[in-house]
Amino acid sequence: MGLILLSWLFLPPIFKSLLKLSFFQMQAPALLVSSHVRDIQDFWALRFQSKPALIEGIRDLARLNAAYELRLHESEQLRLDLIRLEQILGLPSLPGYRYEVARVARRDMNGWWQQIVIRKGRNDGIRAGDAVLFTGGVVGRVREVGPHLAVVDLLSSQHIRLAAVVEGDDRPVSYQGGINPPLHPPRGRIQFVPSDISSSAVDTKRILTSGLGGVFPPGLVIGEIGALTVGADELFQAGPVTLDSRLNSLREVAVLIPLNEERER
Amino acid sequence: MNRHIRWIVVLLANLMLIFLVAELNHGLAIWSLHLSAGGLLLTFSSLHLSLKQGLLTSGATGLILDSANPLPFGSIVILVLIGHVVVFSLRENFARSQLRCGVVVALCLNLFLMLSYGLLAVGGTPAPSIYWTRIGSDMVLSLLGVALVAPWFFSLQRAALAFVGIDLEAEQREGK
Repeated sequence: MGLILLSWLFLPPIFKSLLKLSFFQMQAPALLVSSHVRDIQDFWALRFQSKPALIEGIRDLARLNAAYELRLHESEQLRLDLIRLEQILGLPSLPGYRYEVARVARRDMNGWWQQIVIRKGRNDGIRAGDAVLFTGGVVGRVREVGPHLAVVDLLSSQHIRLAAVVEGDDRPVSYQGGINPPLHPPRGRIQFVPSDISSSAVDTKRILTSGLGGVFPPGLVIGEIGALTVGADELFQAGPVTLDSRLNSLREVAVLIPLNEERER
Repeated sequence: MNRHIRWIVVLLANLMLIFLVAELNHGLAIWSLHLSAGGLLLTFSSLHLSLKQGLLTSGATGLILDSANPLPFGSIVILVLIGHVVVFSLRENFARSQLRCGVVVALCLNLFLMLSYGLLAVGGTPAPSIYWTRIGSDMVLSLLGVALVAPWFFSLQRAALAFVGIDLEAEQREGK
């Protein structure tokens, strides 16, 4: 036994990485199959919906589509305005991204970490470190990538740290994933909040990505700050952050793939 | 020949349980709950297989569990092997053929794995008291789950071995 432990300790890291990758990839077919089976289950569950319920759903979707189409026109107009201003002022263009939408194959949320496995990987242009989003804001960051699967650390995971800003203020603060109590929405923690920013359990404030670090574009929603308390140094405040409860039940996410990186490939 | 493939048969059963538990956890994630059945995966191999074959099964099971987590690769393998060797060295003192004994060993191993893993992971945690509340709730759920599933899982492993022509009970009777 001691011999096994010793040999494990002295095993070259590259061999350990290869071993980890092969054992993870070994599970990939089972992950993909179970995820597709779940999709088929959802499809048949919809098949058994009554016609009036489906018609109602289609009507709601049509309304949403119309609203999104208007937004699309607005955003295209804004994009053209931005290009024009960049040309007039001679500014470098902002980094561009493309969205790679991926289904969630597996959710794994325990006391030690929170992660999801998505059904897209290296073959779709995803790389470790890419930002992952959903309709409610930030989901997390890609940690490992295989040919057809990628593992994403959720925002609620203790391993995630990022620079954020409080809405309406441009000074950076530090966000870290927290511990997720059972039967409650996921949580994080915010630190180094300047003392003149106030937030309470009643009057909550949103925190957004700062854009520092280059992984997440600025302005994406992270969560809501609760009551802030002054730290031991009496210079900065810290407090809990309540994240979107939908983080625990994600079905589909979008991976942000930087366009300049794609051009280099 | 059959003597040499028994670790593969037990490993295949373990793989199936890992898959089922992962599916269950996928659903439980909505309520921030998690079921861990590591102890159950080790019990049969440590109680009924030879040291070499048992270590092969437990080592491979540990590597599979380790491959999908963010902590340093090898953390689970080492804990799993320690648990395996401890149970193996004590197994002559247990009534191994009894189901109740298997369930108790599975529960103890599960508790050992969850606590030791919790201690390893607590390092960078900002608020350990909340952390242990979460680990505690997962632990209670896991112990209940393991106690419920263990009889079925052990009989599945016995049936799988019988399918390839290995009768463990007869071997143990002959051994006595």
